[in-house]
Amino acid sequence: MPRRAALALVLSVLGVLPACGDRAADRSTAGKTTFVYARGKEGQTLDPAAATDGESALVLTNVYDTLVQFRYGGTEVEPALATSWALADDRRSMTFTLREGVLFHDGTPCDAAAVAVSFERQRDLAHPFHFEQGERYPYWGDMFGFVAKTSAVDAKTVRFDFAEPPPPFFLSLLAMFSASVVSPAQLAKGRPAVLAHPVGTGAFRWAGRESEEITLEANPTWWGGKPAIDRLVIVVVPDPKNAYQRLESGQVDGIDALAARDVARARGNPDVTLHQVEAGLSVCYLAMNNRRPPFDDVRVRRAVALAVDKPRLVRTAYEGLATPISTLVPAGIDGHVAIPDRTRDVAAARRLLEEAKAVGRSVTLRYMGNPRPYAPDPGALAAQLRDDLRDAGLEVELRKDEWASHLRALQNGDHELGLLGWTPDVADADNYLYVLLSKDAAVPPANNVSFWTSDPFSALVSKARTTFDAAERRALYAQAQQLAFDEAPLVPLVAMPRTAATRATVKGFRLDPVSSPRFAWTSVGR
Amino acid sequence: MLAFVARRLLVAVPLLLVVSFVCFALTSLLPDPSVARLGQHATKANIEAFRRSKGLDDPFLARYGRFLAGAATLEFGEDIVRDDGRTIGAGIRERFPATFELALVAMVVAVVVGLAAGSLGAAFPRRVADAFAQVVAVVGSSVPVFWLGFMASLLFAVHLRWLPHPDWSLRTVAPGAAYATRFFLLESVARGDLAAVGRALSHLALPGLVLSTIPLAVVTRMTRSSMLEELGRDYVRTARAKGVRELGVVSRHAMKNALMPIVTVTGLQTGALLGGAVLTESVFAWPGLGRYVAEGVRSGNGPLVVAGVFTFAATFVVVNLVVDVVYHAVDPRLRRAS
Repeated sequence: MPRRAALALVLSVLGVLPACGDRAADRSTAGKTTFVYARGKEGQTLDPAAATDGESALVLTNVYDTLVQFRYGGTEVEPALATSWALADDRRSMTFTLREGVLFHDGTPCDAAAVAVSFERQRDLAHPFHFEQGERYPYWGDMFGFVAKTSAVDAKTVRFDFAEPPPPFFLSLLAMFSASVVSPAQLAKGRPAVLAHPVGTGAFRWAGRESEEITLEANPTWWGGKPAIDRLVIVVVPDPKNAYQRLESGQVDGIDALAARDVARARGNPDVTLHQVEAGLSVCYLAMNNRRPPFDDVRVRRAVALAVDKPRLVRTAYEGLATPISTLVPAGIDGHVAIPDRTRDVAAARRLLEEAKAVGRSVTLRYMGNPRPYAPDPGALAAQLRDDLRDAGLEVELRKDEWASHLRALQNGDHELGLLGWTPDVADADNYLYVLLSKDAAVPPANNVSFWTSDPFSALVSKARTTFDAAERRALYAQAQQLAFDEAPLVPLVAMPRTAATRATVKGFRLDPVSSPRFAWTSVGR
Repeated sequence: MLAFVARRLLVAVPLLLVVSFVCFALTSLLPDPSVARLGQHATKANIEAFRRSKGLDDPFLARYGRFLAGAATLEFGEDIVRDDGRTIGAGIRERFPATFELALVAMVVAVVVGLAAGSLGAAFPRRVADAFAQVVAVVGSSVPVFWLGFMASLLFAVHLRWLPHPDWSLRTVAPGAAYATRFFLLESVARGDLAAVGRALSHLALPGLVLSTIPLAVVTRMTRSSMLEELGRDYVRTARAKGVRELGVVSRHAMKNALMPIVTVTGLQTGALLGGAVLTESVFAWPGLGRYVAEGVRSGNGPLVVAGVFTFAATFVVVNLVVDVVYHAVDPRLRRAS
């Protein structure tokens, strides 16, 4: 009896198989094009002012518009909601002329007053639409501190007043997701309404959320033209290898962040298109705590830089999918200088350590237990660094911590050597050099986890912050990078390429270096 | 019977209190949630403001009191890491159906196959059937689920393409339909929509079969040993002596008496599976409770983790209650006693 029941069950399961064989069927309901995109986890919020993570940015970028946007596939800014702009001669204000006739998804007009609200609500802690009860919004507090006021001059002109001249990369800041323009009518409904149903002017409008799955639909009246995709479904697949399998079998149309092994597979699969930004913006580095001996001695730091075998690191810890770097500013960023890297020289490293009387010295290397965008296998990375430094004469002990504890330990300076990396907020050299190596950034919780407090370096990068002449800025950054290379407060290890993959039938998908994937110009063919 | 159920539920209240208290005390070991919430770039002022506004630095009893107040409404307050305007309770309610139906399928497979394999093994000990049942049990209990899951999806979803990669959503089960619940399988059955039932089962098949190997091993072995014991008893010899065929002896006479310990382990295993199968859910991207709570652990989301454990404990209490009711149904002695 039980046997028969078991047989019946097996048969019934097998019997339903033909029903699911036609997977394309649920893709074209009512003649609509659906595009399914898989990501690794859910975003944290749908309020652009409060968001800090890339997962949130993915949804925000497609629902909201900004005054200016990154060129599709590039890092230069181009008009979006604003069609033109002008900086006042005294650099104390800037005006933006808005595109005419743009409507929010709820039908209300996107005029200058509406745009101003999205900035004022972030700046003014007492604003009725500032939802964080006296708490600054993370990006506003960090990056928009120089904005004194945003106001509407007339219906189509927005004016920013500055407390101090804005940085040269102000337009890049305005292209970030945190500068999204939100419908004031929706904001007026309160925080829960904004979080449950984001209303912007973007190419896609909110269609709903079920558990982890978010559905957006094309905005037929988008100022840039109606997107070719009718419905954009964003699902969660935690395991990147599994996500790639789903792409190969056609169950999803696009995925982000491929495992190194799958990058090679995607290249060889005619059904799949690999998208790659070669000069990725995420960098990984080995930080040395300059406040602690022996790393307060420049000879020891140079010895460490000489001992690390970066090409081998790329092979062992990155399966070949990364580029060794000699400076923190990656090749895709304006201001990058190609400094020829030190080639590994164990004997020279050992001589330097002997001079500094640091041979045989025992130091601890802290690393994170969880993979990061710039370190898919931190354990392998740390193990090879230990071996490299041992060859030169430093006794390295490894200490692994879960990510949050690791980050906090480094930010508070509780380390000698530490593994860390960076994905920039703004595609500008400032976001690497000032944020990661300036004196100002060496205050706990520090982003300058090397706690390197070089006055000449800090002077150079601070000056570059207020220099608008592009050539002059490049010269300043070139000097700063050479200084950082010579003094070696940290060892830049690799830059990670950014990867994504789509079905070969998908056309017009481009991977942006900075921005989250945008689907406004993507279509699905036969 | 009603008094019995009421008494058991009443006893569960202090139990849940103790569980939540212990779990709450342990959340101080979780990573700092401000990293998950604010990212790597947060300033000291941001971190402090975050901790203040979420009350993370309040005294222990104040935080625990807040948790209990949230638990009383089954909402458990707002999520401190994920700022999407939904309460933790809403997140749990959204994911529980997926975990429930996955556990249901896994348990049905495990009980049906386990009873059959265990009985066969006991009826013909040390023969081919028995050896097979033993192998099933050993493999089921020793092969790690994440490996089995990966291999199964490679075989059935990638190479043979018999089954889809699980994609548990109304979009795949019943496109265009409006369901009242997220119990996609049960609601499809209730609506009599056979095509939707088929699609739901096809998405449940891979994770369900992989997950079933855990309880399958236990049920098979328990059935075999319990059945072997019964088959050696006098009433079985009597039954055989009066000419009942072996199949009848096993299924009609011995099975009833062997059932008690099987019901017990089935109940325990069901309770365990309803707590969310973290590994299976992660491998198959199943939007269930286990992954939800595991992600909470990773991001240091204390209130979410405690709420999750609270839910598991409550589920366990209910499952145990059901097991006791089933005891009454299968054992006439208990019925007479009460």
